[in-house]
Amino acid sequence: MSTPVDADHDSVSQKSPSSQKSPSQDLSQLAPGKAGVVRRIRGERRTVVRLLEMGLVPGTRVEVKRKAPLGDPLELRVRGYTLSIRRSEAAGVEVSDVGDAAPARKGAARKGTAETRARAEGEPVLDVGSAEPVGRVGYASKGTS
Amino acid sequence: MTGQAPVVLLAGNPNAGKTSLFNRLTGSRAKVGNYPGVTVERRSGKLTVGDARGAELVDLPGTYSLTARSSEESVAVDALLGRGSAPPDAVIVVADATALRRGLYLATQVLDAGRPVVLALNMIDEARASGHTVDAERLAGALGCEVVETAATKNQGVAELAQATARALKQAPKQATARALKQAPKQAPKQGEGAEAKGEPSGTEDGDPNAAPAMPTTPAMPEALARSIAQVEEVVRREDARADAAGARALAMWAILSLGDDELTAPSWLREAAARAHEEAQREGRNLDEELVAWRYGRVDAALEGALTEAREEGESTSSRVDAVLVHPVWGLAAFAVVMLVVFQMLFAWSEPLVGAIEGAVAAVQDLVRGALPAGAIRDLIVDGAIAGVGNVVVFVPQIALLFAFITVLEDSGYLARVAFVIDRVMAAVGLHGRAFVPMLSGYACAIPAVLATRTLENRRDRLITMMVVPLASCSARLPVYVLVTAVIFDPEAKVLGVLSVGAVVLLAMYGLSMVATLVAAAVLRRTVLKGPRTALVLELPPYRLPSVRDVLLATWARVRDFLTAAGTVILALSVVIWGLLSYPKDPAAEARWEAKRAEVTASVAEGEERDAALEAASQAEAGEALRHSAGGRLGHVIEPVIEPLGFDWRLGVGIIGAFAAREVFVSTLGIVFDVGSVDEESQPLREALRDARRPDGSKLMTPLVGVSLMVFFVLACQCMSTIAVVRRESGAWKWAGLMFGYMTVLAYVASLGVYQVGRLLGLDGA
Repeated sequence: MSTPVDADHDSVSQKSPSSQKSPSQDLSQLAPGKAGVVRRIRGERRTVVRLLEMGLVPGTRVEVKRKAPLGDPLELRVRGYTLSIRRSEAAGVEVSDVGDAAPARKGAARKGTAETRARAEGEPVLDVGSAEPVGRVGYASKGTS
Repeated sequence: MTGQAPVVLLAGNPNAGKTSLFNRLTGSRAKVGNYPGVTVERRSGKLTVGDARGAELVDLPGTYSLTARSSEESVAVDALLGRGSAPPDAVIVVADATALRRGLYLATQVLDAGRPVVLALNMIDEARASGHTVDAERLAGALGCEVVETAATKNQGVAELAQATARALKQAPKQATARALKQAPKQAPKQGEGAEAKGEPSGTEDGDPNAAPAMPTTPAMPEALARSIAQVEEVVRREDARADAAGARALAMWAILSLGDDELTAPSWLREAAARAHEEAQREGRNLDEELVAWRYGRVDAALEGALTEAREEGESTSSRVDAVLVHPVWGLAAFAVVMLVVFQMLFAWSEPLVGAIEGAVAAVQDLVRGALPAGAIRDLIVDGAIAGVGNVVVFVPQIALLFAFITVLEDSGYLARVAFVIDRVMAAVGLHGRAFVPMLSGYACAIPAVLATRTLENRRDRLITMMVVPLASCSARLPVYVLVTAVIFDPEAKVLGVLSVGAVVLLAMYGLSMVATLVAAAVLRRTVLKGPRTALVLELPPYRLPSVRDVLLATWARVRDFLTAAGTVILALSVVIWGLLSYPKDPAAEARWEAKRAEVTASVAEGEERDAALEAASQAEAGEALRHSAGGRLGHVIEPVIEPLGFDWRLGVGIIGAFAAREVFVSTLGIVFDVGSVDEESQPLREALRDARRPDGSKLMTPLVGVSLMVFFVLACQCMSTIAVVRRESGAWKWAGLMFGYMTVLAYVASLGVYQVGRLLGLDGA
């Protein structure tokens, strides 16, 4: 039943997300009150798809609200709702730091899409139409790097 | 239209108020069944509002996406695409108006399937109160479906939603497809104060009915992604003649996200097509999953552009302020402890008067019927078999009702998600979800409501593991056994370290053993029989809300009714079987002898206390003899060689067999075996009888070592037919109930064997 795609996913899912060099942080490293913009998600495919579908798509702003009383899981604010994931999954979410959450919330009503917000903040966003692939997700990286 | 009622699906995210809306639309009359082949509950009811009255409304399981990895998760997509059933005539998608940027993801997936859709923006009152403004007309135009604002708990917008559904049912599916292509239906005027906006149906434009399915123009789908989808879609069209254009496309997109590391039974051509699309994308350095989800969210954002104005400040919402306390490192844990204490207290203590009342009522009915019927086998069967068996079922109702009312309140208020959030770290250590905590805790009162409470776990594997280990939690029915045994084997004056009574320490040790066994069993099951990919915690923390009394009562009643009809019938049948085992065959000779004995007592002893005592002693002895003569009593002898290595004799064996009806029955069964009557654990005659009990070789039966071995056996063994019946019902297969009974029995046997044999080697069997 297993397809070549699966094999690829599995082999990469074991790797530690921090083993790859990257200037950005992962979500588990953000202190409560800090926000970031999702760049890509790595991990087991089924988890990656779930997180993507819960709104953590590249270019989306995400804020770490707080940690659970016992330190794990994390409480996130994304797409106008509150989501909780464990640190182990958050470690697969690569974000670029946009600093404290507070300044971003100042100003007028937030209209527009997550993408336009991210662009305004000068962050890289996923642009699937362009020639330069940004959406290189961890689990598929074996073949491309 | 055929004679069959049209089918309307109700889809939506968890916490979007879907159940509430279902109750309003159907007048709260739901038919509960199961989806074929899986243990997912299927709730359906007749629409009782609006012009589509009589249409069947099917409440799909709450989900954030149609993507599936297991057959349980694919129930929604199967119903929507008409796989294994007829496709629906219309779909109502419920979205939480306070979380539209996420909620519309599912809505666009449903729209792509090409069936007529009505979108309900539920909890619109709450969204407005927190400062969001939604332009329903504009949204309707952008999505190409009718949009209705609702507040189900206040019964607002429900009639309008029903009317919109009736209009959707009138559309031919293909027109719906074409309509979406052509953009924006005409706008309906806003209604006065209710402010329920509806997009007017516009079935007038009909493009080529066979045109490609709906794909709104903004944002344009990246060319490469479109190519990948088309590639899979082509295979679907070739292989599946039944698929219409929209269905084929929706199935292609579903397969791309779902197939791969899944546990689905998908046709191999679909599997291969999806794998090929992924491979080719990967070769081009693209990631198909991410592209598809990102595109869809782009569509959501584009649809909301201009239609949704979000409140400026989301950080200082009421929920956020409440959470500052309820999930605070100190106050949060304190609040958690208090709420869990309430759960426990409720099951342990508050249900007690109700349980007592039920037991009293059952006894009264038994007396009544016993008086009304002539003595004989039929009367015994009705009174001691059937009526007592019904009592065995009904006696669980107070705990189930209380627990489910409370769980529904917690769930609907939003706190149940916080419970999982607060305790997840502990549960994750044994590979379980934070939501497993409430069932586990409930297990310390009674496994029956606890197993039912595993329904709050959405992942089937997590749910099975939890229900299979919950019976290891030391429930309240074990307490009488511990109390009796410790009273028999330990001197109440004996102290450990000068302060603690030995009995208390042993009791504590039993609870400790139970806790360790529960966690270890969960970890072992997770690594063996129920091995599978680790489930990530992906938990929405919904805003705090006031639960509706009506919804809580309906949910509670639904649970109780399901228990009575499904598990209750099995428990009743097993009760009668066990009663039969312990009552038959009769011994007419002995009965005649005891009758004569009673006559002799009545003749020789003067009326008064002395005579009453003698008669009582005679009937206790008779009951003992009858039990020893019964199949169950003889079974005690049969199993004696098996349980002897644990230190038990045949009399304890009969007690263990009787305890299968319910653990506390061990005590009364022993009472009968030892000729002191059907007594409870506080009975001095029973304690004396047990202390004096000898083995054939004259040695003491109940040494401290045997007592400990017996208690360990009761901690670990699955001595409860009701638990088996409920696990069978909730897991959907005897296989799981059998596995649970099997592993617990083996565990109990091995542990008791270890205790007794090691103890003997250490010379602890004296005293």
